[in-house]
Amino acid sequence: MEREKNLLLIDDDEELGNLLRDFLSHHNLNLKMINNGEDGIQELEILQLSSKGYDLVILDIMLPGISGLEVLKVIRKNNNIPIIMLTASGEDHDRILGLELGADDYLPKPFNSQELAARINAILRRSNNHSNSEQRKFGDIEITEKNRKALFKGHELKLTGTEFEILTCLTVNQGDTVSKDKISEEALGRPYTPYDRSIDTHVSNLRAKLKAQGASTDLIYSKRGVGYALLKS
Amino acid sequence: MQNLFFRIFLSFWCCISVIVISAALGGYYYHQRMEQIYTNFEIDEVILRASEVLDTQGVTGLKIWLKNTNNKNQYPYIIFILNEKKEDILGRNIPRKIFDWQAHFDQPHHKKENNRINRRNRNKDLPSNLRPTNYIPLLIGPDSQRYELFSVPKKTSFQGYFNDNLRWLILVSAILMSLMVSYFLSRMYMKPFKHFKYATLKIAEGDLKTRISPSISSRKDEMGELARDIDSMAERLQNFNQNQQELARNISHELRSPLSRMQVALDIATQSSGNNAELDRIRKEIETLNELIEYILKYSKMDQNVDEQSSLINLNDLIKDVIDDIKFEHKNDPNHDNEITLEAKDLITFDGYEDAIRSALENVIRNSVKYSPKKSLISCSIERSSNEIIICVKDEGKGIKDSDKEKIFEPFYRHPNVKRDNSTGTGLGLAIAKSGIEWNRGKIEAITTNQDFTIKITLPIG
Repeated sequence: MEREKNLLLIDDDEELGNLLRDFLSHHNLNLKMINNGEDGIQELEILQLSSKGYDLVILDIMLPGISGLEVLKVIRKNNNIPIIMLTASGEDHDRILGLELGADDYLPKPFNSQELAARINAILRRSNNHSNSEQRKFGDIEITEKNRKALFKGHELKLTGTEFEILTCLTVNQGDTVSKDKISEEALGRPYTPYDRSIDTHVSNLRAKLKAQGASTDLIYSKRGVGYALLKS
Repeated sequence: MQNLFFRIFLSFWCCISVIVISAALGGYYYHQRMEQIYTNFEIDEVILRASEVLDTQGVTGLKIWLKNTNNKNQYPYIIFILNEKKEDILGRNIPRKIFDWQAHFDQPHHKKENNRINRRNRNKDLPSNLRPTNYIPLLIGPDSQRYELFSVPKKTSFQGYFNDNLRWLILVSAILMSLMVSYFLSRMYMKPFKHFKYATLKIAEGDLKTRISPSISSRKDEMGELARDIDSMAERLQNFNQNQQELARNISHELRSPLSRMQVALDIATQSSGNNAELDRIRKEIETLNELIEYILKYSKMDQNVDEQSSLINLNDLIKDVIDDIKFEHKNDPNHDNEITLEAKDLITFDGYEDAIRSALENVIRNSVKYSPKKSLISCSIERSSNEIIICVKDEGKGIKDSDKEKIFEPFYRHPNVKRDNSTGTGLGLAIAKSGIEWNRGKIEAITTNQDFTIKITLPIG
């Protein structure tokens, strides 16, 4: 049996937190709750210094005081911990902004708890799955899975977990178009669903980060209705 | 704008031009008058000559001399010689003003003055037949008849007056100057309007942060007042909009929190007691409620992203995306296995709000899928004419009555033929489509025939 994972929930709805803790404990997930953004940031900062920390953060976007998006921005400044956002469905701009700010995935409220557990596990699984320790080189891109680092022409790309997974998925299949369904399975651990633009948002983040290091925006090109491909150098 | 500018400009210019032209005319008449007065006194030589002729050749000689002198064009004036009956000796019509002058010079203050001829010839002996009384020279003929001498300047023509190059230059430059002055004046008056137009346009486009430039709103005149009024209007709109968005967020949050808790509690219940029909039903109703909240917010445009800027949208790709999504949604649904096609001749782009158009198209096509018979065809088409883009979504569903054509776009309208079943549907789909299209300044309408049903979306270009 794997060790119990520690999750941090930042949400002002304590009742919901209690119910979730109850539900997730059956999935071998230990949930700690913090009901506002400031304390959440502090908690993560303190624990980042110690060796023992959280494995994943579940962050509600609608928080009293400083908003979830602000919290996300602060956390992402120096922390690559996987983050799942909870958004109100329909608030597309919050969701897109959240993904742009580096959240790994999102779930609209009200959500199916089973779905949440599945997403948590998918993200945790891939961030622990570092069997391949060798450094792999694909043209200008270098990928080291062990410490989840990606380099473009020797410069480090500061990628979130999901962006890293997408880049890996594209580089492994360099030159071929990878379907959105496959990208979604590999990077988010779930099948692609209609109306879901999160893959597109992640890819456009990835493009922007590559571009900042001097890559062409066409390096990752999209094939409408099919998926994305990494240009063969 | 341009029009009003021109009108103000023209009225300024007309005013100034009228003043310039009247000044020029005034100058012309003044010039004539001055000339008349001066020439009247430049005839000493002529008077002396006339007295000599009268003395030596008598009245007949004077007549001949007068005729010759006037014909010779030697002087810029015409000489009249009047006998005692106040008739010209040549029998010409006498200009009225001669008598006016006479009356004028008969006034006492002129009488007091020394006679000009007298003065000038003080040291000379005047011919015996010349009596310089007042200003009007008097000759005495051999028959002791008195003859008065008058000179009337030949009229300077208007053209003659302006033959002087300098005068032309002054007139032309005055008109040009007036042109410039009126241009700058009208620009000065119109400048605030430019700001007003820009600002109100921005506000109308939804950019409520827009304010009139302080250079105008700080003015103390009516323009400044208007600017401040527009500013305060924008501010109130902004506050109102903010409050509404806040309210929408609160509603969305407050209604969804209990739903979220219900959902998790339900999941726990399912986990411990296994799934059953009742729990399934609760799950479905939670979904419906959530969808309803989302749709109401969407419809009331409370969650309209006011920060969203309009952008150039590739409509072909957008429709293809939406069709793909809807096909995916119904992938394993035997009741809605419709074929959806898109017919597009060229690539059509539109400058608008993508979210609103996307949700409108989603709702229209989804509506078609919902009410179409199994395996039937839904055909979408997009085409562009010179001033509009037309998107049609045609299905083989049962049409509606003509009288219901407007009603289907009303919120919560349900067609009486459609049974209120368990199928999802909030009754807001087409209402959202309508508001999304109208947000993009377009029109949406239903066209129905016996065989099919078409939703036609018209988007304006430019």
